[in-house]
Amino acid sequence: MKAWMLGFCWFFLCACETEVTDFKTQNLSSAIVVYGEMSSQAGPYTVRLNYTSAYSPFDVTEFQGQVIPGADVKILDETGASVSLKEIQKGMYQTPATFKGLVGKKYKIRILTMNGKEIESSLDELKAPLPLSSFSYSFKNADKVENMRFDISASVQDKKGSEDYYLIKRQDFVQFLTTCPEPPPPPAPVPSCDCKCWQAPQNTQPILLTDFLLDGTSIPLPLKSVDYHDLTDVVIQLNFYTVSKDAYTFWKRQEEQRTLGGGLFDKVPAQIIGNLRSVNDPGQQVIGYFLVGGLHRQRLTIDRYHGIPEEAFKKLGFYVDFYNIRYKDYALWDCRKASWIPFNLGLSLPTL
Amino acid sequence: MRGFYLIFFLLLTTPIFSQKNGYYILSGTVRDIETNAFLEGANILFSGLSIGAKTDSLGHFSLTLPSRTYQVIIRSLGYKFKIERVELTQNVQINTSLLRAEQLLDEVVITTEKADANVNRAIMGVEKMSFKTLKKLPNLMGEADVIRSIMLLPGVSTIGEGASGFNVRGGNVDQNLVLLDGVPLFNTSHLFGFFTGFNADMVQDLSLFKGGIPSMYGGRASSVLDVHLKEGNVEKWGIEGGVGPISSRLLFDGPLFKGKTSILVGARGSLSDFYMKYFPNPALAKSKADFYDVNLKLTHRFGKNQRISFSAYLSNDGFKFASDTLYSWNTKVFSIKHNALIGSSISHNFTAFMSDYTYGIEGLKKGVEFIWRPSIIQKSIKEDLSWEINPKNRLDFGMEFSAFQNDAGSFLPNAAQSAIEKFPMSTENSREMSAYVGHSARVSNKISLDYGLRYSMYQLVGPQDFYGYRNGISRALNTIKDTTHFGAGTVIQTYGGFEPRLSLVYKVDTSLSVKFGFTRMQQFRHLLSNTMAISPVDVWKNANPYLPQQIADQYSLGIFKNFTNVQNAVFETSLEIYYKVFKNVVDYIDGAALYLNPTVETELLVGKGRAYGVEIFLKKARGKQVTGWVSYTYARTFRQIEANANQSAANFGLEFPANFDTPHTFKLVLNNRFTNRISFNANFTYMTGRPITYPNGRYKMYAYNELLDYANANGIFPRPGLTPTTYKYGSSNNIYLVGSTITQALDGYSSPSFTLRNEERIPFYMRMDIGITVEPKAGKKWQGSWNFSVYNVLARENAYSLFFRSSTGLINQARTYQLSILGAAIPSITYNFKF
Repeated sequence: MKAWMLGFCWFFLCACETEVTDFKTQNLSSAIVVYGEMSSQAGPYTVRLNYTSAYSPFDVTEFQGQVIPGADVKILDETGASVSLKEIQKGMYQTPATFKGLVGKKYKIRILTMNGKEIESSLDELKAPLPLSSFSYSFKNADKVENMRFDISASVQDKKGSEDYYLIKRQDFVQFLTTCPEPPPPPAPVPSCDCKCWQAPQNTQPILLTDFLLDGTSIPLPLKSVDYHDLTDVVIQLNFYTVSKDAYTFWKRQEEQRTLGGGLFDKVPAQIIGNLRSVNDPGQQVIGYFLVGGLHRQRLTIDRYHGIPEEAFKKLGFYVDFYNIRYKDYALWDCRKASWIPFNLGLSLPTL
Repeated sequence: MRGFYLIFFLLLTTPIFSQKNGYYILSGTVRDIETNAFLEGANILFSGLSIGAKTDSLGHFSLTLPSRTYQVIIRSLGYKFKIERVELTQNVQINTSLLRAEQLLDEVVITTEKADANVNRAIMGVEKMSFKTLKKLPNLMGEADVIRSIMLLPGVSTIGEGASGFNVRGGNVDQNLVLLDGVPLFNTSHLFGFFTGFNADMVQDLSLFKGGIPSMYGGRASSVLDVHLKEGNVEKWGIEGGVGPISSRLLFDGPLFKGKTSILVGARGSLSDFYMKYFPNPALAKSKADFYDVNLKLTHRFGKNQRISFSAYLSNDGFKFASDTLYSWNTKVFSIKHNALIGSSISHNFTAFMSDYTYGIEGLKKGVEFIWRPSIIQKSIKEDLSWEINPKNRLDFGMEFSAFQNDAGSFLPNAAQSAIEKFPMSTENSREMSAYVGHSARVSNKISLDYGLRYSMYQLVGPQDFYGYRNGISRALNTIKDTTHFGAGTVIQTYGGFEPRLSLVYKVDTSLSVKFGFTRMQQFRHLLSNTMAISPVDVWKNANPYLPQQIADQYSLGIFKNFTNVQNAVFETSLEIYYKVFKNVVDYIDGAALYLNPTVETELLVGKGRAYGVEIFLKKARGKQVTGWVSYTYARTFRQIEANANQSAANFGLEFPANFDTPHTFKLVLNNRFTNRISFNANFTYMTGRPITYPNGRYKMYAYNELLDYANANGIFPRPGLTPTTYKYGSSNNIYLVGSTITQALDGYSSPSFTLRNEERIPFYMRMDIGITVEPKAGKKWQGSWNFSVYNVLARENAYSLFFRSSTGLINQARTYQLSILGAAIPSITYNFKF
């Protein structure tokens, strides 16, 4: 019996995934990449233009494609009224801060590059934003601190009778603590100790929702939980876009490409084309997307100090000390100077 | 249709079939000596004549011969041949029985006819295999397997381990007609394709038609795999079975009424659910991978020349890998057959069957439980007649009528509390009628001919709502112009056409021949799949106004030469060349959504294809100790999807290699019998890697720049900061802070950029399997045998796929990965018994 079990286990475990690090391909592509968004909230809206880069994941010079400077970029509505975007740095174009998308109107982008390529997106309606119908958290206790967590739940009440598509960006802000040095002996004055700053861990993965088969219902958002590794606050911001089916499909295909495993159910790889095309040169491939969506922003603050069971609280104390969560080995008076913290925003959060 | 009847009539009334004086009828039956079961497909060969006869499904044969004395050789796959002397001075009947080949000294690997049959017969591109050969080949996890075995033959390939189905001479998986006792199957796999969906213990023999396909077969565009199942013993009861690591099998048969009625029941089931709960791995413990199949065959004989049989086949799979999604598929087939001999020269075979293939997905996640179960139901009746006119001419003719219900599967909530709402999908109804006639003729001592004509007509009928699209623009949701409702029985679309078949052999001498063949096949149902490999839950779609029938024309040319050495070992060699043209092949727009899509025609593209190749084959069909074969195949297959008024192009309209295009294939099968009881088996396969679309670049989309833009605009970045660093003093490491600048780089969503389809290839595939079979001692009542095998003994991690993941972050760029399935040597041991 043991031999059979071993054999069966072997059968399932023999499948293996290995990274191919010596993969070579020539960069034959001269596709233009455009990505920009506009919404129902105040801008400025940013559009970035660049070319594709070589497929060399370990070459730092190839992390970003060559930018496309000097382009004439405009956003137009269905009446032909337009607003020009200003190039604020090479390849990065921005609308005036006063420009704001209006719900119900249709918008598109038009780009004329310095070498004469005219690029246009499809005319997409700016849909009405939808507020979240619930957004809350609850503490889940566990034996080990590593397994303690705050489950986040949020939902949206979908509108009955229409096909609706949603794209959600989640940005977490985590307060972190640094340890201040021992104060100097009297009579020297004790410096002020700013030890509580905000960090914004980068998250660039969208959450995609559709009301397909769930029309008119309360649709829950799949949100990852927050860990309990310190007592500080955590703020979760959701940027909830109501988008077109095409925009949803574009990001859905991107996410399929990101999560594929090479197996039976993976779709055959192919270029993901968005809503952009070259008007005057059909041979010029344009990839990326100009997204037009109704935007609702909402934040949830998770209090990791109050309401926690005493026992869990005690375990956390040991955990914080053991794993040096507050950087006691390199104490400093001002947490804003902690450059080892990625996306260290300082003492305050951006306004919503 | 009128044209068909005219040709049918002309063939029936052709005067070449008239008989002469001085000829007598030699007829008879062939049975298994142990079970007394009639043997279908046994060959009757005559000394001094290059013609022969074949037994029908009643084990009967009949032919008219000139009066003289003959040495008659009776041979059947897996049985010891027998020679009888017959003086044909009047009509003679010989009833003979054959002994199973286990007791033979000569090992038979693949042979159905006498040694030079491959040279003599007109049809080429045919491979036959007996149940004994199936059992002897080294196999995965000890499971003798039909489809894995035929993959060892030239011209048959697969895209990788665990892929459903097989590809024959450049054809898609759905273009193979797989017949289980005459009933077509829509899925032939267990466990997503690791194993064949029916029990190899039940198989009597199988024939794979790759090139010359007789006119009695139709409905799929590329090949025919005709599997005949065993029949129950009418004299005594017997039980056999096997215990293996993946599944266990039991088969029993015997007489319900001695000499008249027999029953055969075979069952096979996986034990994986039982094992998995013992695994400490929580993912495996939550998984499910079970399957079973059951066969029942009940046969009753009315006298010597008539038989009726009822068969049932049930197959089921359920698969879940630590997730909330259960994949399942099952097949139910019920058939009834009546065979009779009319006069002494016409055999009649009537078949009626119903098959139901249901597949789908069940969502088990609490609150959103759902079920999606599409199905395809076929109900058919067919009549096949075979008329042995004289020793030189045989006529096969028949008709078939089928009705299909193709339910695309409504998406339904599967629990009272489920938030899922119903999403209805339609059921398509269609019917198919076909008639055929085929004539086998020996024109002269040098030339034999096998030709025929099949006419197939297909109709898609209501009730159905059908979308109309604006002309002159690619079909899309926003080009729908109207919806037409077709009432029940109303014809929506008709397709049809003649399918000529021709096989011709010119014998240069008794051991050398040249053959030519032409085959046209039509297919009215298509399997929609745009994933890496075909899966059992892919959707079948009927031909409709936007999706015409697929047509494949194949031209083939072959040279066949046999050699015999001093030990009478026979070496069969052949070289076959083919060229195939496909019309109306189905392709897909990039990223097509094929499930639960009422307007799936907006995702489909129709194009053309071609395939060509050379197959070189050397087979030692029989010998005292070593038998086997070696083959090399050079084969290419391409598809081309051009833009037209109603669709866009794929791959910019350029021709591209099909997903399963593997130019070079080398296969070796070896069977070495050490003693009467112990034999060693090995096979080796090398294949060029299959095509894949490589990225030619990468791009970033800066969709998450809001925070960085805020920080840059508000002077948060860049700013002065402090970075910890260390210095060593004596034996201690000290940390201190040094000045630095706090800044962040722009980040984005990194994706691979693709261009031309299937321009590159994954690494080549190479695998060797070995096995040892220990047969039971002769004469014992309990016959126990052991099979030890090692699959992929080289433990090579063959690439199943290369894939390119999008990613995020500065470090996590789009990267390349290789997936290997069964990337280790897999030993197994199986015990088989019989008493």
